[in-house]
Amino acid sequence: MVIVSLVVPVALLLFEPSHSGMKTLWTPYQQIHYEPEYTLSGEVRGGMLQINHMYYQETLNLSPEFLARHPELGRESSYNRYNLPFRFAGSSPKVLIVGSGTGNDVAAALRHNSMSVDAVEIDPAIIELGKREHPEHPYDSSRVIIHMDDARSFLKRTNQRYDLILFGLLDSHVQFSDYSNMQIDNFVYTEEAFREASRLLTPNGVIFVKFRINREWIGMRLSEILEQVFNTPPLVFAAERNYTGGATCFVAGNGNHVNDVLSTDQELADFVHRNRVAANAGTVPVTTDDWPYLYQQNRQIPRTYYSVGLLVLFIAIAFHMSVKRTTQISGRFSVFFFSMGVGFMLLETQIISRSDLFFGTVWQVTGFVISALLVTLLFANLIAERMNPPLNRWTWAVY
Amino acid sequence: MSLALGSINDVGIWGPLSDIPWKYFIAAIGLVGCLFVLIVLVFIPLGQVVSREMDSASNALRGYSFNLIGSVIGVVTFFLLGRWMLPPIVWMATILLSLRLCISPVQPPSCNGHSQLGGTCSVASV
Repeated sequence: MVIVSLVVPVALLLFEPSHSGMKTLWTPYQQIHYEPEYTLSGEVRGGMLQINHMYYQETLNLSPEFLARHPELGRESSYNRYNLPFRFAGSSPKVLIVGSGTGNDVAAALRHNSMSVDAVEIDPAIIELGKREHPEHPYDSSRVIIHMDDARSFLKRTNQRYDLILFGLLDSHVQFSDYSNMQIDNFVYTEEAFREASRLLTPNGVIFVKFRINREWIGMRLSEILEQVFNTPPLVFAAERNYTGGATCFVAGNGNHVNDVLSTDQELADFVHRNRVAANAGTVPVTTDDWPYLYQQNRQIPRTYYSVGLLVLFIAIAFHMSVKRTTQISGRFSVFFFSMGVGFMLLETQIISRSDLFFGTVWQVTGFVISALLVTLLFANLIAERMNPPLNRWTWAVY
Repeated sequence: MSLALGSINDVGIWGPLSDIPWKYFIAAIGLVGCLFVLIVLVFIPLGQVVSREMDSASNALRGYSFNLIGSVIGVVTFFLLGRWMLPPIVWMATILLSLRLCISPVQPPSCNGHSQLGGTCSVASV
């Protein structure tokens, strides 16, 4: 029994279904599987990246030379999700890409003669994978500066100005911040974040947001936020999907630049018209830094949380009753210790979520916050032990 | 499990899954409950040891301070495991080595064979 208890769970945890060519990485945020993909002739065409066993992204070779050699991959037009943003930017734009991943958007920026590219990616392992594995090697270009940072944190800190700010399918997928119910991309898609991004645009600058919309109201929300920031509804349309995957695109910019582009590029205007996505604004609450839950439809605690919370409460009561019945422990409820626990967790989670907003939702924040709290308590203990200050009603009044 | 938990459409992380019936959602909640129980089991022997040590300490406040120092070391270890992107086998080895340090050579009467077995099984389950 003991052997089974030891072996089975450890084997399940440590087993990695890998084969030659597949790489498994454990980053500070997630588990990554990367597997190269090949053309029929055996040439590497890119690779597939899974996060926690779910499809996340592909590295793609979209260089004209490669596509010309491999017509079987299908025709790639300038209307795929990687080329489209540059139809709205001028020639040789200065580009910021938030959520640059393994580098598909960076490669597209370089193919479109961008003057400079600031590439922001939060996960160091994904950047390393992009450097090593991306067939176009975009991160090796001298025009590219890599910033290993949280997107929101970078938007706050940079003082550069950009012709194009591209939100490159930035999606935390499944990642929750430790110790809070924030997803690591929550503070990226808030009204304040887009206002900060809008301030980084040049007079003819454009924000291009690509997102995999799986609920209509998420599209409405993004559209509504951009409308509030730019005082005009964004263009919302679906990118063409072929060898590359699809995405819903939101385009907004300073002044009348977006409409000016459409009026001078009739082909693009026709494409946008044909693929327009209805995102009627104003029917869902917009996300703000005070309520940053992009994936939550309404301002309420999701029923999943209620269900799990009730279950945990039920199990806790069952455990308590069981302990009371089988042991001599009195089990008297302690208001003091209960309040200490509630207070500590409230303090900890609140500080972590606020620190995420200030420093970015990077993995180090949680470690720093918890360490700081523990060290503070340690100092308090030392003072209490050495000086033994009186504990009376005045002490509580100071609290 | 995640897909089934997401079948309640309050949160839209997992795609449109309204066709997943309630029974899958309830089954997923049940599985969450099982995981919760396993996690509780992991902490029972640790809680017993901490409680026993606190009770027997001549200076409980100092004991709590050592507990805090240990927690800081634990956070720093977690930090390094993340920074160096080490795999789960190293996490497990670190946990088991730490537990070995917790087990004193002389077992007090309250720590009988059953609780040792429970602790071992619980850690393995994690």
